[in-house]
Amino acid sequence: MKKLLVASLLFLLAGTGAFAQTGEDILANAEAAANPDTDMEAVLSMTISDGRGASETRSVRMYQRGSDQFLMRFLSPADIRGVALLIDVQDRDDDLIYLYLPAFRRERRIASHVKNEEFMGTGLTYEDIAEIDYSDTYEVVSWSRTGPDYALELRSKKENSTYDGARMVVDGESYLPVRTELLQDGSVVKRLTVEDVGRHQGYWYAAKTVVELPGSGRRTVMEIESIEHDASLDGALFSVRSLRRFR
Amino acid sequence: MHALVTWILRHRIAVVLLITALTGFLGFKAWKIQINTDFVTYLSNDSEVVQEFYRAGEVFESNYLAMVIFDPSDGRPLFSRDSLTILSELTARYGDIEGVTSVLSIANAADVKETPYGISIEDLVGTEIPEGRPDLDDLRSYVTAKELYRGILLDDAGESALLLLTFEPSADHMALAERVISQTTAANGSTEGFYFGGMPFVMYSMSQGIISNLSLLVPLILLFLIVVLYFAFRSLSGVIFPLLVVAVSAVWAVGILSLLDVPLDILTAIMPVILIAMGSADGIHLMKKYSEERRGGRRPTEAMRESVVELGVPILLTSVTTMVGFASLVVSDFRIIKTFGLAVTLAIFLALVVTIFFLPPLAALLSRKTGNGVDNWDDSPAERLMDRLSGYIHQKKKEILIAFGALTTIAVAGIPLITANVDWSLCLAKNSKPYAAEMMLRDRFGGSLPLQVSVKGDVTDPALLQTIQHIQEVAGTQPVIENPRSVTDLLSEMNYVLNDTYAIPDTPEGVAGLWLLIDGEESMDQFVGPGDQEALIQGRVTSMATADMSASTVSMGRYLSELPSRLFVIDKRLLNPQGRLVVSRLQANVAAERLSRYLGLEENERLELGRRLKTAVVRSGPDTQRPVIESAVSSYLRSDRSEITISREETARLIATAVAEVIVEAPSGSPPNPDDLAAELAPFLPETTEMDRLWLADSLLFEAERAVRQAKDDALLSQLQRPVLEKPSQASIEKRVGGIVHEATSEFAPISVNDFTQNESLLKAGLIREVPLEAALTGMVPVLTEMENRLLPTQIQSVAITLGVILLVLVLVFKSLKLGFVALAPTLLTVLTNFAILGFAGIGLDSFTALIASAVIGLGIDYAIHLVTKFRRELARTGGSEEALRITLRTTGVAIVINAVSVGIGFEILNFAAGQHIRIFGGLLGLSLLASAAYTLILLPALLLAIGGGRDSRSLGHLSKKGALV
Repeated sequence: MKKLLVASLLFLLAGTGAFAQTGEDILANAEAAANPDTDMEAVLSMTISDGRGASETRSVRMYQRGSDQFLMRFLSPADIRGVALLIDVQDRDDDLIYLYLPAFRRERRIASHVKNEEFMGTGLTYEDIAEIDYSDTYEVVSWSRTGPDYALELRSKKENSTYDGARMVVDGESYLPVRTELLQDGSVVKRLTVEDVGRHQGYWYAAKTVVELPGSGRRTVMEIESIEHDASLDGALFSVRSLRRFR
Repeated sequence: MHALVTWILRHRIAVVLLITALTGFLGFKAWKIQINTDFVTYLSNDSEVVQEFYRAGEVFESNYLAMVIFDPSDGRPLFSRDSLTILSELTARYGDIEGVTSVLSIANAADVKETPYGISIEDLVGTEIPEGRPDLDDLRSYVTAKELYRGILLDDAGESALLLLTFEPSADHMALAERVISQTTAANGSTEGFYFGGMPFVMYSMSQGIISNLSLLVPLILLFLIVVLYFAFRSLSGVIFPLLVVAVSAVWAVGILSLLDVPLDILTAIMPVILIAMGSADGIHLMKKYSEERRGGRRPTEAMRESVVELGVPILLTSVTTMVGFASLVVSDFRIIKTFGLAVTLAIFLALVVTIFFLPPLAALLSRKTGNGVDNWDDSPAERLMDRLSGYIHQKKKEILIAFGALTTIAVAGIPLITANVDWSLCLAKNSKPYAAEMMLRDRFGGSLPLQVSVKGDVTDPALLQTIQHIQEVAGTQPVIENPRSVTDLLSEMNYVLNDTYAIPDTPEGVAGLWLLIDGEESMDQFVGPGDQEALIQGRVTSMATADMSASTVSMGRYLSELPSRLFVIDKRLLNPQGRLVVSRLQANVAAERLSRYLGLEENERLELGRRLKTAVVRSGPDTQRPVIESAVSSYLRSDRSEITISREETARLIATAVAEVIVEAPSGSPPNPDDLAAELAPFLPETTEMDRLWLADSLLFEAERAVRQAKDDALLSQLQRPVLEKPSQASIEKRVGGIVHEATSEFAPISVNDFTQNESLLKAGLIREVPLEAALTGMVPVLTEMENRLLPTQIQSVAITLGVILLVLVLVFKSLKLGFVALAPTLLTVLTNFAILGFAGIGLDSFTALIASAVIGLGIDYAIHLVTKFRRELARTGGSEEALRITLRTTGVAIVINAVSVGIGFEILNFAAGQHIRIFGGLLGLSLLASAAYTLILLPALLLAIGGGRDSRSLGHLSKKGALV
């Protein structure tokens, strides 16, 4: 099970355009495209609309080391500057999620079993952003080509999963999932749409992603402002102690 | 009148057909009429509280709070797998209903806790329900211990749970209430074990009650009247025609309201009942006269013509006076009372039209089928009784007047005892499930009616949040306000889990960090408005009676109005020692007040506590801080958390001493910064990088501040020992007390404009921001209390106008001021009697009981006009007052008795109504009508004789002169 905060937030990263023969192949390619095994550093803006007419834009710097270690740190607004979240999923049975709140100068571990809880008002849950292991999570019920893209109907493999299934449209060139509808009791409860796909250093990434919660009016728009792949990040960056080192 | 009735009788078939067709059309419209039980619409829209109610509803997506109690009644405990599964399922199902904006229960309430795997913020119970009994028992213990939700979502015993639902303001709340009930049935198989309360369900129950009353009780009253009237008249025509007038005019009135898109509300729904009382009287008098004419040998048409000619003007007059009585309600600020007044005025007018246009041709047409209209009352028991009564009045008029004088005095004495009180729970029938729900909500969950305080400003600012917390604490001390909650509870709880402090963080950054963790939680929408620019404190009131609410809302309103419009946040580190002391003392005062409220201390204890806290604040100077800082810094340096771990104790001690020196000796108003401290650290840590020393300095300053703060907290807490805290402290009390004290030791203090202005020269150096503040009561409670405030003056005004106008009409008609007053006297006494009953029996004056006076005036005047008119006519005819009175009472008197007995007792059927308010209304109105009839038949004749001054026609001659009605 791969858990990828950064990549899932953004559907970043490149993927190869390998020709998919089966639905399972397409899903595996989508997973690889959304979650490439590389070091990456990016800055993105996150505009959260609460469905009641108010919105707030946050700026976040994210680091990814391989596909298992992630760090995100808020840069703005000023009152949350320095707040950081560290996710280490090297031990698949015991995820490590640490939150650092600079106002208290305390890093606290977040229980990993709360994956279905909402993550910081984004409309996404920890599970949404930490799990891009599509092949482990879903089985392909059916797939078809819709023009250049692939449309997949997915069913959850796991009992007690937050979602029963998903409908996914995979970009035929980049293999990034450009539209994902997550289902509960047959209804769409969340929609992730990649509105802009970018390519940098040979990697495809979701330059602009919109998360919508149908019925609530809530919406989060995430846009990549800068991105650096193959960044050769120091492992010490992904330690609890490093969370404090920010001014 | 003669020409009119002749024309009507000549075209009787066409008139009857036309009226029948019109009745059919309006009957169809009446069937389609809408029902409105939304209390807020009962006040005029230009009312500020109503506008505020709607505004708050828009901002927070609803202020209509519906509540579903789940109290498993089949032997299953609440904390069983089955029950919790249903609770969880219903939480989801209700949330899926379109128009339901939020659902909150223990299934999805946010729970912040420390677990062996870290901090978690998750659903309190969630969807993964444990199976085994031990696990379920553990869960029960855990959830019932949650102070944040105990008494809100779960009763103290952990036996019943509450689901809180908010509805979109613009949604059809009746339909939503029905869908909630149907979803409950779908999930549980039935609604057994579920109780539906809160305003949307109260409104739903009331609308059901209105339908039940209209469809069952009104026909039942009519049936009762038929029986009584039949025994009175002993003829079908005497029964059918008066009631036909009522039925047709009621159908017309409701049909016209429907045509005008005016929905029935809890008052206009009783209009048909009022009409039975008002509308049937004229018909009864007319049919009584008709039967007398028929008894005299006249043919039906002729008899009806004579009856209408003789009674037409009195009927017109009685209708006009009744209409005046109800039309006066238009002065009310209550839209509901205004609409009711106009609707009943219309209905009385229609009853007049029907009496004049429909009854005569119908009676003439159907006289063969319905009998000859002649009652068999030749010297009936009633007439013999009236003969004896007239003789008694003639002989004992002085005694009668004295007795009524005494009665008036007693009645007047009862009026000051009246309390204006609109108890909306009376709209529910006792022993009904909605009433049981209301009582359960009061007993277990602090009530059903939300009390809301809106606080506008930057809700993420700690200064504003602390003020919200203080307002909430004040609300909690009010007699009928229970369980006030706000976003500060969640934030304080999170801060407790993260930092062992049950308080709002001092800095915007601290608040923002916590806010991030709960952003998007369902419960946040109920407490925080869009853009975090408004917060809502939500409590519940344990009563739906406005008299109970009033005291608390007035007290809260006063407290809120005294809050400053701006808060000045002072950073004490930037002040000189004198300024620090000023602010610290203000903080100590606030803490003493809050602690006194929380612990329920007496005034003298509060003062003593304030004195002690101020003393403790003064003692907390640099000398006491130095060892605290040294200890904390030394400890940190040797821990593995330190950016640069120091293994040698001596080195750690030296650094700690240096750090303490830097902090304690920092110039006044210029707190040390990490860069300066990092430079001080360099000689002790030569092998380290500048950046590492900077990180370390940053942490050391923080650790030192934290330790100093803790020492101050401890110093203040030590002042709370005996005699203040004599009771053994519970963990929850210590938690909250610790939080209050912690706020008082903050380096950031919000102070009021006044406090700042008074000490501006000392404090301006520390002013870091100003925080605008605006707080006001909002929601349903102010709307209901506004109703109570406006009711009594409105009612006095309405009764005064009615009596004045009626007196004027009587004086003009009778051409005698004295006679006008005399005719008004029995009605006046009936109104007094009615108010006296309210006062002595402790029945609150509400929008229902207030209307009884209007109904009584309308009907009582009818009795008086008919009696005076008849008396004057007979006086002129016979020339003797004794004979005139005897004949008047035998004829008009009997008609009054028939009307009063049939209608008065008929109203007692309302004791079977769906709502207690209707029962009280029916019971009191029935009694009042009987009293009105008795006063008219006893007091009025005695007064008439008394003002005549003698026993014959000469002495009473002025009464019969130019008698327009004769």
